[in-house]
Amino acid sequence: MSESNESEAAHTKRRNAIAGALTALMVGISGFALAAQLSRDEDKEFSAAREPDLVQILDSLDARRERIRAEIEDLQERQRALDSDTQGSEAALEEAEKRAGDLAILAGTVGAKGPGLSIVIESDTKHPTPELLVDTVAELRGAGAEAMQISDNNGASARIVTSTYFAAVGEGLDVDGITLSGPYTLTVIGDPPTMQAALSIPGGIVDTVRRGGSKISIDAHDEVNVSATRPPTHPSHAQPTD
Amino acid sequence: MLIGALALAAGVVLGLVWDVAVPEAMEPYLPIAVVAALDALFGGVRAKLDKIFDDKVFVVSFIFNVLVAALIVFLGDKLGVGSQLSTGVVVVLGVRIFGNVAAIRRHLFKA
Repeated sequence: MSESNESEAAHTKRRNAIAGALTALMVGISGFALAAQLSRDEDKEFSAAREPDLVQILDSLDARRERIRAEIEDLQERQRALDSDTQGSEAALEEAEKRAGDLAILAGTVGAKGPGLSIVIESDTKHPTPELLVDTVAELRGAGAEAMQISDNNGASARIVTSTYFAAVGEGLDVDGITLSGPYTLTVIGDPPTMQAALSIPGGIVDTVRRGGSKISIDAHDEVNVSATRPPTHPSHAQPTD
Repeated sequence: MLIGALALAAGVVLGLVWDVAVPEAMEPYLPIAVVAALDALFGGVRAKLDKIFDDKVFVVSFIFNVLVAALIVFLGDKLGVGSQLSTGVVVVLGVRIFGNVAAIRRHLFKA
């Protein structure tokens, strides 16, 4: 009886030990799983996310990418438009500057240089008459002269433009209000051979000057300077039309 | 009780030190299993304080809770409602954990 009691007590004791060990094992396993889960979650942001969540995240990323791509295209389009705008304005500015330069030379408001002739007309008589000078200027214009000035040995000079007039004043000349006395030097920019030929034709300017008893000499230069200028005029009545 | 605390500490330390790779097939179930295990743990502590703790009940309930939780999530995944079902399981287990913790608190602080 006591033996069986003893064996039963031992049995119960062994059973208790096994159960205690199992309990400890379970607790240990749960602690282990908890720690493993915690440390795993630290490395991967999306590893714990479920498939539908991932699909949703992917969808929203796709939508965002589309939006950003559209924005990029929009901005690139604007950049292209602005670029072509800038190029257009630059070209227009260049064109306008070139035009302003051309007009300034034509109006005589700036100096000019280039190939051309320097013509010296010397006279001790009343020659050359203003008419002769007007003829000379017209002849030179016909031969393609682009800028002209007339000067004398005293350093006075006048730019010859479309409105220039020549008038006789005593022994000298009045050119646009500037009084010059001979000998006169005409400085002309244009194609030298053409202008030379235009002046030298039989019965032309050279013949006329010589017949009148004056001396004329024509020298071609690779570069002559037309340095005399006129103040710009501002039309008070005329308006430009497009 | 002391053995349980020691075993828990040993398990946590082991899990932190040993950088174990969770198998991919088990990945969705581990968080739920951990929550179920936590529920069983708090239930065990409560039973101990109520002096009705039983090793056998604890071991069986522990294994059963973990398995059922994992099974529910598995079924949910197969049915296409995995995230909703696991949310439900976590809510139920959370409520139970709160209940157990409240009972433990009453035992310890008499409040």
